[in-house]
Amino acid sequence: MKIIRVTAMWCMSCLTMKKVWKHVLKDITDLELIDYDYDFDSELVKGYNIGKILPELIVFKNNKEVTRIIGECSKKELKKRLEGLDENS
Amino acid sequence: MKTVKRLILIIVLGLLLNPFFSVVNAENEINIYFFHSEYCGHCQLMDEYFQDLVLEYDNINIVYYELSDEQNPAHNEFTMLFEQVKDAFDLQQAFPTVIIGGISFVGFNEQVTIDIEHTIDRYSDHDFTDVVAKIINDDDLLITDFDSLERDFVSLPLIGEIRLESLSLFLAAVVLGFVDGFNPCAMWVLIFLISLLINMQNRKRMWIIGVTFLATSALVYFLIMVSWLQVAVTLTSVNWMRSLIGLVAIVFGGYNVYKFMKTRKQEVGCEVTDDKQRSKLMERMKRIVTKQNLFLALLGVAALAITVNLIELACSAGLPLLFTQILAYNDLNSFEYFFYILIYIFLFLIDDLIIFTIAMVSFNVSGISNKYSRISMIAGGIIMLIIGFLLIFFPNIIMFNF
Repeated sequence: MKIIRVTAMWCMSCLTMKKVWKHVLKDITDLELIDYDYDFDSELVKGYNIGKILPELIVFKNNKEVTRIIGECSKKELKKRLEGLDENS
Repeated sequence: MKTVKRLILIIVLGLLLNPFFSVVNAENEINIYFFHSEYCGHCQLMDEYFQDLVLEYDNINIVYYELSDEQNPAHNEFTMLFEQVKDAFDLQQAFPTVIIGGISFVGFNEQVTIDIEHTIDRYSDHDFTDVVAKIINDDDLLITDFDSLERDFVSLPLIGEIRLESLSLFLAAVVLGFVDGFNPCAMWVLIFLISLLINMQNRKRMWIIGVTFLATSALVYFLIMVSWLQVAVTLTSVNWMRSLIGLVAIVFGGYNVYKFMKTRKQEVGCEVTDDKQRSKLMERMKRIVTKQNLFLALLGVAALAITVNLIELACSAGLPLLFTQILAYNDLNSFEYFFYILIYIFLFLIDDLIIFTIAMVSFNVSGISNKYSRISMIAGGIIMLIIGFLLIFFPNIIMFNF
């Protein structure tokens, strides 16, 4: 699984989500995590068509985009959404 | 940027042209209008009481209206005036009747003398309207001209007895300031600034720059509120202005509620707005933080705080102005006005203070979930709707004359 994580240095939701990500993502084996900053990596981010709400996680499986997780969510919610992907594959 | 500069100019000019401190006058002259009749015993007692009172206060002036002497050439004029006064204050024919400012006193007993002295004390250092003088001059009377005795006290643990009006204003300052504080428009600047400072790993510099930013923010808000207060106090006598302000509050409040409803289904997160403005401000902050000269860095951060807070003011859609308006409708002295404004500002800044302090101590920026800024949006909207509605239809509640 590959996740592109788009955050911004000024964004409070990104700060509050830090703990949630840490908790949930550590259980995922074979995870490739790429961090982009909305402002500083604007050239790299451009191609991904990021919306108006941050943070945004773009989730890839087998190099194909499968879902996007936008904004704040709880640990449980994030876990459920990522696990759901596993079962489908 | 141009509008921001213009706003600063207006505020500075407003402060220079109309020095707030001149509102504090030495002691107001107070006219006491005494309607009496020769045939009433209590009038005699009231008269004796007044003769002692003039010795005690040198800023009072007793105006006598004797209404039983039909030979008096001014008898008709006196009777007419008394009729108008009774009408205005909704009184029955009774003697003695005493009017001070916007308050009427009927009869004579110990409670009346206590109330009269209490009123004189209050009017000595508060603005008031001389209703009888207005009637004599044929001026139009407004509801705001009338006043009431403040016998409403509530007792609180630890604090003791406190006037209901003060308690209401205090609560209004706390609630409105707190709600306004979660307004997200300027929060990102503080977060970004703290992140930059933490990366520098220089604790002393962090404290100095951060405190300067927050202190300047408080000062800007204070100046804006005080200058609006000057305008607001002069506006209180204009009746249609009150309805207009109420209408504006309803429109802004309604807009907040509408926006909340519209984005209800949207994900909670940081909204990306105006890329250009943000990147400009971010560049500016980076330059400020990396300045070698601390003094220049402080000047830069103070200027930054001014810009950001003026933007935020537009974004909070006038909650601070509305609170100042409420203050204006309550007759307070300058010290009290400042006190309530400072409480508002303290609560407005409290979330920033908490984030800043935690970051300084732990070297780690913590965020407050944007859920709260959404709650602030709907709470602020509803509060503004209510205040606007009250301003138009029940102004007495806004003046806390229950």
